[in-house]
Amino acid sequence: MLMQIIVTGLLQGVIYALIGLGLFLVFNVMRVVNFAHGYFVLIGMYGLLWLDPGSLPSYLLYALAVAAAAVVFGYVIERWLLEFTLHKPGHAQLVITISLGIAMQYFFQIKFPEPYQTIANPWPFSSVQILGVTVSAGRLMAAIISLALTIAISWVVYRTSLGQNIRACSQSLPGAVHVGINFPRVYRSTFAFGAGIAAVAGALLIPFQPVSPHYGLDLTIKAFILVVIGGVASIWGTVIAGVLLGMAESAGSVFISGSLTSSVIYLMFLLVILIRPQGLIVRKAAFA
Amino acid sequence: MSTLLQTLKPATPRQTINTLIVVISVVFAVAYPFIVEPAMVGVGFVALIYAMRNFTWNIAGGLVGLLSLAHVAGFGIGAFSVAILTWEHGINVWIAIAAGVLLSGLVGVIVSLIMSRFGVNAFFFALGTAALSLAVAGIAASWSVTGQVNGLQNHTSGEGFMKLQWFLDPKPLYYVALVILVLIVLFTVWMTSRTRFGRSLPFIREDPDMAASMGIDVVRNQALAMGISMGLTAIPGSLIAQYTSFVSYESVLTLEIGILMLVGAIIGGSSTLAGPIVAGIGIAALEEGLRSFDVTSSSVSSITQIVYAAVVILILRLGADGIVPMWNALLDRLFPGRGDEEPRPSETSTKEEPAHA
Repeated sequence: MLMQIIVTGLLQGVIYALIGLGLFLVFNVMRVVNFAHGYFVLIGMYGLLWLDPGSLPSYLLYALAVAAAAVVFGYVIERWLLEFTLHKPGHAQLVITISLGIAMQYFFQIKFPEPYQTIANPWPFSSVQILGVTVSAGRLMAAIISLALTIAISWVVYRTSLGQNIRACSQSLPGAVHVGINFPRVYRSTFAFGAGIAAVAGALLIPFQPVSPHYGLDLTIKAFILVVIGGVASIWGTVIAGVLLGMAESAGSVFISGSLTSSVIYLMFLLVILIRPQGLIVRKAAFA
Repeated sequence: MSTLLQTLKPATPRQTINTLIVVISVVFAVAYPFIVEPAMVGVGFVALIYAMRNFTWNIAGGLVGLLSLAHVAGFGIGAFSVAILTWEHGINVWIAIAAGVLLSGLVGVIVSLIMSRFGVNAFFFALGTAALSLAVAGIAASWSVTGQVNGLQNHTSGEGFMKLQWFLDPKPLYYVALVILVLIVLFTVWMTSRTRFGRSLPFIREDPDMAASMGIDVVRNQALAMGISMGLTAIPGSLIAQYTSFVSYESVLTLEIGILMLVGAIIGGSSTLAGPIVAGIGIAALEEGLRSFDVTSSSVSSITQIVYAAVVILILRLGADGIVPMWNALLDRLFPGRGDEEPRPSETSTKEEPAHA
């Protein structure tokens, strides 16, 4: 029982962490409250559902294609809908991203009226035993790829010049402008990057996670939970929060009913917002 | 109504036209059930519900600027209070509605006080209230008193005003909704123009620090506005429950409803009183229009939601304030002159009644 909780929680948590990372970058660098982030995950899920890959190579190829499409979509959204709100007061960006999410949700609702679909398992094996727990191939591979991507993202953020620019804009926008960073371009690439990550996560989820249009809002809120609980200081806070959320969910689903589990998680999250809006896990103030 | 007209007496062309529109709309709304076929009366009722919930959201969202997603919890509380108290335990429906209003208002006050106590910003306010709504929905979905996922069904018999149900004819329920909407609007007009509390609300929205330095108790007034707003939001919830005779967490507690209230108020123009009502009526009209275009019923609501979202994005993208402020600006351009000296542009179009469904 305990192993079951730990293994499934860990595997789910790594994917949550990947989704949370996309939001973390956007939230932290641009200070944009992207309520559409969960729906970017749905682009990946529904994209693969629509393309319906039959084999592993086509699955991987389609996943990349969907991610590329999401990157373009994210770029366009940032350029045309969000950029003009960035340095204005008011709630325009919040309302715009919420509305965008709603529009996408109902678009998927029309396009894919049948809820809770998945695609056939694209991996060459069906399930494995880990520490006495049976894990489906999709779940295991999704977690492994998520972990690899998380490490790759941390490499991009902490080791490349793009990452340096991203962190510079996050720490001090006037400072970044002062040293000649083209911040609108950094913002656009960050947002596009975040959307792409979300779509990849969706592509990884679809072989074992049935998709319905409501799932987007759920994922948005969960991603925010990770970012808020993880704190703004480091991407590892978000990753740890993702694993914790996965564990909490799998533990909750064993002991109480599913919807009550999410209620408890949401209420605990509300508490965190109130008591420590700067985050629980990482306490240092700088994203460096 | 007459006092309202007196306040509009030094009339600019815009005020004259808007007053005329309000009067025509009220007359039309009263006559509406008798000039359309019976099936359309239900559509009118739904339009009134949309208008009412947008309007009550706007008391906190537009007047005070609290971007709340907790209102759907108020809507659900209203619906479930009728379902639990009246349908399950046979308590008078009006008492159940009052209980829903009180409970929902209390939730609003507490939410606002807690949020103020911890000094959260607009983003955390939206996120925290969204989390609260999701938590409430999850509890309703797993608690036997609220019918879990199956929801609650109305099995009570007997019709009439005291039961607030009429089985064949939706007209009486339509008029109940209309009267309540008018009362809520009149109350809000009175509150925002005659009471010190009400007049402080836009001030708090524009600059809370300045308001506090002028001796306004910002925290208390925000909490009170949130309480009034959420309490009144319970009423359309109760009415829609009486209309559909069925309540489940999916039908009244999904976060999408809360988002639609927010979006609707902003489309109409959240700085005006008429805006949310216009947007509510408009969306119901749009739904009905699509239905006549032979679209399947599940797609109808999806398409209207997409249109809703697209319109609000467009309005914000163009930097506009919403339909009613745009309409006022149009009138000012068509009839220049005295209207240029307009001292309080946001309050002139105080009221507009449901025009069409």
